[in-house]
Amino acid sequence: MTNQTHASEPPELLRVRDLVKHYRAPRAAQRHGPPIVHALCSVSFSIGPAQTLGIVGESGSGKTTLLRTILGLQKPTAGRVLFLAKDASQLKGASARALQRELSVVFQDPYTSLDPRMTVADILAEPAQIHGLAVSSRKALALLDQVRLPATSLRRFPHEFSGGQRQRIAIARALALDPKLIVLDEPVSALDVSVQAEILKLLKELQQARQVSYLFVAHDLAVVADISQRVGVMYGGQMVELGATEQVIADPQHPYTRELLAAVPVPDPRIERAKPRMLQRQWPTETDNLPPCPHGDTL
Amino acid sequence: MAVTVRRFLRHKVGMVALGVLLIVILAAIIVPPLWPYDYTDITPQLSQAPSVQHPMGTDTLGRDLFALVLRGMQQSLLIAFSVTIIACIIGVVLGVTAGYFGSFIDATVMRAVDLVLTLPTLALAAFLGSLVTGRGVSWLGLAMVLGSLMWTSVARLVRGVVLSLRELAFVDAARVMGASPTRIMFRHLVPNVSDHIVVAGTLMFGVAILAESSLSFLGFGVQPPDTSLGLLVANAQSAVLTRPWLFYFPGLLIITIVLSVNYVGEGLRDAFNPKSSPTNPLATTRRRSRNRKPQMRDAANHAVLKVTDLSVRFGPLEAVNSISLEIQPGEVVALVGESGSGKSLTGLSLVGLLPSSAVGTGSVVFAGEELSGLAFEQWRKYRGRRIAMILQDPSTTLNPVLTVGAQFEDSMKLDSGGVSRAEARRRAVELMESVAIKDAEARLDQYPHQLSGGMRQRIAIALAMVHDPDLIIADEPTTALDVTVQAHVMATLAVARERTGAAMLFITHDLALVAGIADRVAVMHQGVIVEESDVFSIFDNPQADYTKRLLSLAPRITGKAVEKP
Repeated sequence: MTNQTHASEPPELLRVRDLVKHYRAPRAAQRHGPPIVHALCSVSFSIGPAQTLGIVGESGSGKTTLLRTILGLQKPTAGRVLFLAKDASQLKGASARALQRELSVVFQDPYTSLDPRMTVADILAEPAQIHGLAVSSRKALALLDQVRLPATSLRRFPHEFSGGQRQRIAIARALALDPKLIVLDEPVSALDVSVQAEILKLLKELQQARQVSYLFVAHDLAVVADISQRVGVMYGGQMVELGATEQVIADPQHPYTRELLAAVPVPDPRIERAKPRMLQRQWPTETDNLPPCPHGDTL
Repeated sequence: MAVTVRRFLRHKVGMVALGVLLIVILAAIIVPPLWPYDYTDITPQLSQAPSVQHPMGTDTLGRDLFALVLRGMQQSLLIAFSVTIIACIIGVVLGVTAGYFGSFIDATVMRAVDLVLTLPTLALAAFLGSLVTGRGVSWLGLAMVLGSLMWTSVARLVRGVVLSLRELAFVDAARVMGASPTRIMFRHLVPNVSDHIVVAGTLMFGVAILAESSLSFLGFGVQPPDTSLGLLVANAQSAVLTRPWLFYFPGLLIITIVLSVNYVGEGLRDAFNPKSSPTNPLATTRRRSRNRKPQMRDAANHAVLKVTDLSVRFGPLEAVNSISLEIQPGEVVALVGESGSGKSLTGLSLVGLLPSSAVGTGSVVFAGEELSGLAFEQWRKYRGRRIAMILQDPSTTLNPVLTVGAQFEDSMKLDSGGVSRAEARRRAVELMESVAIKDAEARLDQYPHQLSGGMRQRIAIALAMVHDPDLIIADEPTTALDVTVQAHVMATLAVARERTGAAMLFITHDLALVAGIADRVAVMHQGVIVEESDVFSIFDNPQADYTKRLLSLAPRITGKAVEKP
């Protein structure tokens, strides 16, 4: 674990405090369900420098809402996101832009996260252009080198690359401004198992070399556990479990965590055949087994 | 881009139309200075029929019609071009703004579009045109009036495309980087709509020529002594019988220009969008082998499926290279490989659904009957009935406009004809409950989009059980799903297999996933089966290096991940 707590250095890179996000359900959904969706209920956690926090959860667990709120793509109903001890939503102008440089993102689908009409050179130059910094092809080549892509990639378009290579380009773009934190939204779930392993290895190497922190979100506990020092499990908009990876895996507290663990396929026919067949959720799914949101139904 | 150009070059009608259009435009630019007569010159030869001196004849004032037509073309093309540019600029700016910002701005722009669409364009253009100057209008004024009335189609098109583009991750990525809305709109969104704009602009060019002609014909467009194609036609209308050449030449030119512009537009649309070309993926199979009788073969061999020397080629590229595979009744065989290994093509060729650009050879014997080379109609006996297919994306298997219940009914009517609705629903509920789908009765009245991805896939599996198939082909059935839902779908497949007694071909990229379900595993790499053996040997004692590599890469929760340094 790399948990440096020097007096000179801020102990926390990112601190999320009691984050709440409610939104009104679409009218069609209101007939069957509640009118207010509690996408996030009082979620809190923090990430230190050069650390990886993994977040697992199924679709609808609120993990995407959490990411989008941290990235500033949507506003929280309540609670705060403190990045480098500053609240980005309170900042304007130059200081907001300075903070923006320290945070970048890699999305799940490498087929849509790169603009199909831009060359790789343009894609890698864009962060610097937006922030009015010098753009050089030497910088772009260095980035490509770090993600192990050949220099000839610069003049090519995204569609000329495989899914794994595109994800490398997206990672290179995320590294362009030397950020302190990279948010990774299901970065390997669209890829083949073998390519997943390569990307995870690359991410770990980059973390070693550049002391960057990751917030790594995925639905596959095996993938998250492979890269994270700490793991948070989200279910129904709440962080139902948060702790060191070893501890969460060895001693899962929440039934959903246990189901996640059981669902990971083991490459051993004897173990797999001995598993009970899971045709459906093994425990009550109603939200009433979660504590109610402290913010009620405010929007 | 290069692909688009190449595809356009292959579009014969589009290329001919482009040639015609270029000749017309060049003629309008190059010929006038070289031609002995100017369109204002009045010669003593009044109302002459076409001759060597005046190839299109002369009008009642003695002007050379060819010179007039050239001038008319210049004016018409110039106006149409300006109209298109103006309308596209207005349409793109308003469309992209409305699409990107949405809400209030979108509503305002769309109401403006509605408003403009309710106005009678020509009448308003005529009215505005006469307002701009006291008497008639300059070509620029006319272009501005028409352009400001014709932007609506472009705006609606651009808005529609932007609405779907802005949901894509690259737009979010740019926002996270701190890009301004202007940058996102004009650096990311507009370039991605440009193909649509080019096509719409081309088609609008044709409409603009017609609009200008109509206005000039009505007397509200270009004013004499200047002229345009529409004005020439208008002037000739009183002389259609006595001096028909005055009418035919400009009229024919209008038709030629508009037709060729439209065909160029059509060619561009096809070139930009490969999906619009009407190619039936089944066409080649159908052509190659009409009405061959399924041959009985190997009646003694009890294999459900016997594939021998199956190859699939795309031109020179060998995607599947002479593979052989056998599946016994009730057996589950897993075909494991990465993208590009040829595993999905193998699955598709078993049911005769190869893309039209692929050529499949080899023999596929299903329950003793040779399937390769069957005609389209004959396939229907097997597909969906004796061979069921579960695809990666269940939303492509289920019909989005039918309720789940209706799809069960449809499927049941296929064979037994006289199934009553109540009986169909009862069986559907029974099938769904057998795979532990909760509230099966309520699901019957839902549409696929109201269900989660995992539920859709499980219903697709229940649907596949209707006909008690002999073989289930499952192609990456869990790839887009959460891990826990993946476990549910795998369990559903196992139940379906047990209940129907079907054999199964399970295609996936994840070796670990098949440990629980497969009896035998075939590992595929670059079009070749590199290893095939029973499930225990594959995991305990893999032979091929590629299999070992796949095994070492499988993410596992016990073992290495936890024992991190």
